[in-house]
Amino acid sequence: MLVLYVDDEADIREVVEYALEDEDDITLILCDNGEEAIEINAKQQPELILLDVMMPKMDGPETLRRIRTGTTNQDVPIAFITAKIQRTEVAFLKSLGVVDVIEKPFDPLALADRIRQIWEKCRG
Amino acid sequence: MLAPAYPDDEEDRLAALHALKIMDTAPQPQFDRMTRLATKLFNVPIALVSLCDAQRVWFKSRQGLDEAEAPRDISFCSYVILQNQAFIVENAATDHRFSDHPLVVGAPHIRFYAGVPLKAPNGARIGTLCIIDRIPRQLTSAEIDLLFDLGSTIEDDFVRQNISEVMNLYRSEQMRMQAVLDTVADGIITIDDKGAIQLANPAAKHLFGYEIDEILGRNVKMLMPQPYATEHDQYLTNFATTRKAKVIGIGREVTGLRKDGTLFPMELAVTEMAVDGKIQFVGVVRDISQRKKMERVKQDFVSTVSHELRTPLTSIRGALGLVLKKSGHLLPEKSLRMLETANRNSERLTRLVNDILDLEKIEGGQLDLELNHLDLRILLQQVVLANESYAIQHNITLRLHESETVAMVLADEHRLLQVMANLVSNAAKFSPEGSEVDIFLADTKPGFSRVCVQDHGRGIPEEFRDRIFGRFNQADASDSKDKGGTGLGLSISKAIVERHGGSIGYDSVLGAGSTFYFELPQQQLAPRLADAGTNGATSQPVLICEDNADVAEILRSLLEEEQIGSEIVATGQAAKAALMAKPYRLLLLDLTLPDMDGLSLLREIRATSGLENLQVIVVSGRALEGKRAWRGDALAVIDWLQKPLDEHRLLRAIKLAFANSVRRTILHVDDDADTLLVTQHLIEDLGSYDSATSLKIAREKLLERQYDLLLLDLNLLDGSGLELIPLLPPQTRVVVYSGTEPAQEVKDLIDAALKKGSSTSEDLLATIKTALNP
Repeated sequence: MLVLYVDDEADIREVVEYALEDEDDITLILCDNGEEAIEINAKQQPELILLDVMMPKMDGPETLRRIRTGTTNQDVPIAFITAKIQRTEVAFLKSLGVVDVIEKPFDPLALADRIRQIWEKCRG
Repeated sequence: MLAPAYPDDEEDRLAALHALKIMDTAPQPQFDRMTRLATKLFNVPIALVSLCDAQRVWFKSRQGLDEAEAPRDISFCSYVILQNQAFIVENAATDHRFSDHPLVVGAPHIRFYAGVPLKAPNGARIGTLCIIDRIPRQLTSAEIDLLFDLGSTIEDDFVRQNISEVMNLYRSEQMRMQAVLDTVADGIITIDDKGAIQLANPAAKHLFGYEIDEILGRNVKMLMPQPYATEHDQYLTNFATTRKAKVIGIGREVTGLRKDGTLFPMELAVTEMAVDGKIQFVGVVRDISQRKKMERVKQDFVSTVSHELRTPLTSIRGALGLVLKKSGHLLPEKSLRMLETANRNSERLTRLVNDILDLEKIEGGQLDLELNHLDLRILLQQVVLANESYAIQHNITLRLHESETVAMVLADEHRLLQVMANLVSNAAKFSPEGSEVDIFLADTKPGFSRVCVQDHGRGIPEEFRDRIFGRFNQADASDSKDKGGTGLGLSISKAIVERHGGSIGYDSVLGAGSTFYFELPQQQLAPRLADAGTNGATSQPVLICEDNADVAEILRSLLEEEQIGSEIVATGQAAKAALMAKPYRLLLLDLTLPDMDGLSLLREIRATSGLENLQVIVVSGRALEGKRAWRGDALAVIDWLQKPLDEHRLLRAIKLAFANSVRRTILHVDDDADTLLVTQHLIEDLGSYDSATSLKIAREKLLERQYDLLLLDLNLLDGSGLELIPLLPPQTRVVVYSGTEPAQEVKDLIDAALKKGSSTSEDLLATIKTALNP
């Protein structure tokens, strides 16, 4: 499964990379901003995007909106991964039409399973 | 001598005497003139103005006597105050009451005594005017009258004395009140029953930016923006006719209008008072802009801090967790231990950030609950699953005791799990290794379900007990196995439970363990779905439009369990044909159909005569996207259910749909036409909507027919909406939708309450739905 992870925090990208490197069924692409994410989505057509919410320049919701209104791979399942975890914030994020909202800090050891779960959910 | 009796009104008499504040004062010429006059008129050597205190008789004025006072028990005066007539002793030497009196036996050798009582302004006999001679004498009735005349003149002086005393008091009291008015931080404005400003203090002037002269006598609505200004006129008109004040109360948040046209949020408390029989209203106004600003700043701050802390925590926790897992075995023992410590503490820090966020919400009154019907037995099974690994870490066994009775509550599942996680982890922490923690339900109070978590630890130390639900309080944890607590858990748990209308507590025996428990009010078990509807509609089947045969079958069997018949179609065309052929109670609709888009089908259905009101629930892998894309009436679809299917939610939606198909009747009582209009638009799909703008109209409507739900404003022009409640049949649900939060006693009488302004349309809709389908 080709998964794109978008986060402006280099440390967290590194953690995610390390957490998923031994997972044979998950191929990870990393990028640090929304614009690049939109490009990668169009070119490489990932099967799932994990999208940070608070990013400089283009934030997660805007990135999501642009992907959805695009013409290539616009229906790709997207999950937010965010430290904005107040109930109203999560409810708002969910209402934007994502498959899941993963709260930071997440358990890195459970991340792979979480990704598979989301994937199952999308296909089901 | 014979001691005189005490008058019956002795206490009041003394009070009247003391109120004059005349005892032990310096001589005053008006009194001395009278005694001098008496000695001349009656040709006596001694004349006194005496005042009779509790123990003594004190002479306010005396002629011919050196003593300033005499003991009451041996005084002549004490006899005088027993009667209204003059008291006369013609010859004391032969009078058995006074023959042995020291002043009779010795100097000044009194023989003759005549006294008239002196009265305080309230009529109490407080002293005497008396004349005394050393030889026996008699008084003619004309002379007695003269003595009374002198006495009256003295009494007039008492009154004068009293008035000046009262005036002084009044003046200083008035100055004090004025000083309070002038210096109090809150604005105080009084108006008459027409709204004209009678008084405004400097704080009010400062608040609104006017000079006092600019507002005195003018209508108070000049200080309010629209629509408050118009409303205020209505309140006063209404008051004039009903004598019922609508705005009386404390702490309404309203908007004030300054002279320069700017607005500010203020808190207004209005009280009613009568001055000279005329009604006036006192408004106390407090500028709360600063408070509002602070609240916002604080909220934003907490939200930001929480986010900012979480971001580095994500890296720390992630990095540590991964290193420990992937290369922990390569590390020297000591380094491994250090990393484990760091990891454990990063988790603890995460919990702390979460707890502080919760606490902030609790303090701000923003702990919102997502209430659902829950069976506590099922919740407890989840609790055991969720906390088992923690218990195992501490070598503790969680033992769940099965319960026979259903324990339905209306609660926020996530929050209850949080409470239970807290109670269970506390129990595990303070239990001896290898012991059990028992989790069970108990019935202790009728109407409540109690959840108990029992440990077999050492019990709670006496000195910690009254702090246990406080913040950042942890018992001496030297024997605890885990120091990862935040000290906030029980405080948060308490707030959560209380927010549910429940209570939390514990029983503890030192050395034998503790049982923590919480109690929640029970909810009646929902009736079987098939019973929810009435009449012929129940026989109509549900139409399932779903191209995936497996999913369709699951839905069919789910409905069958609830004794609801259903039919399955796989395409949009087939669905249309079926719907045209016969009536269905409900359509379960998939959005991705082989021949057409589900949303287009939904649009066609809505446009088809006879199907405009068909109940529809969307069940689809793309339900959420569908919901967003659906531009039509939000109420056209009961619920949008995303696959994988949440059965519980589906059943709820079905129940709601069935209830809708029965067509409920709602009466909305509110005196604001806009509110009625907006609400009608919002809820008319839930049932037939009827409205009343006054108690009077509402009463008439309630006589005519029975309603399923009453949506009620409390502050109506002709009284309180609560007056309607006794008129309702027991099955009528009541939802209060008003500008003010009802009191707790009121909440017990109603099904739900929403505050205007602070609840959204969706809140209102959801509350009404819930009330109609308990």
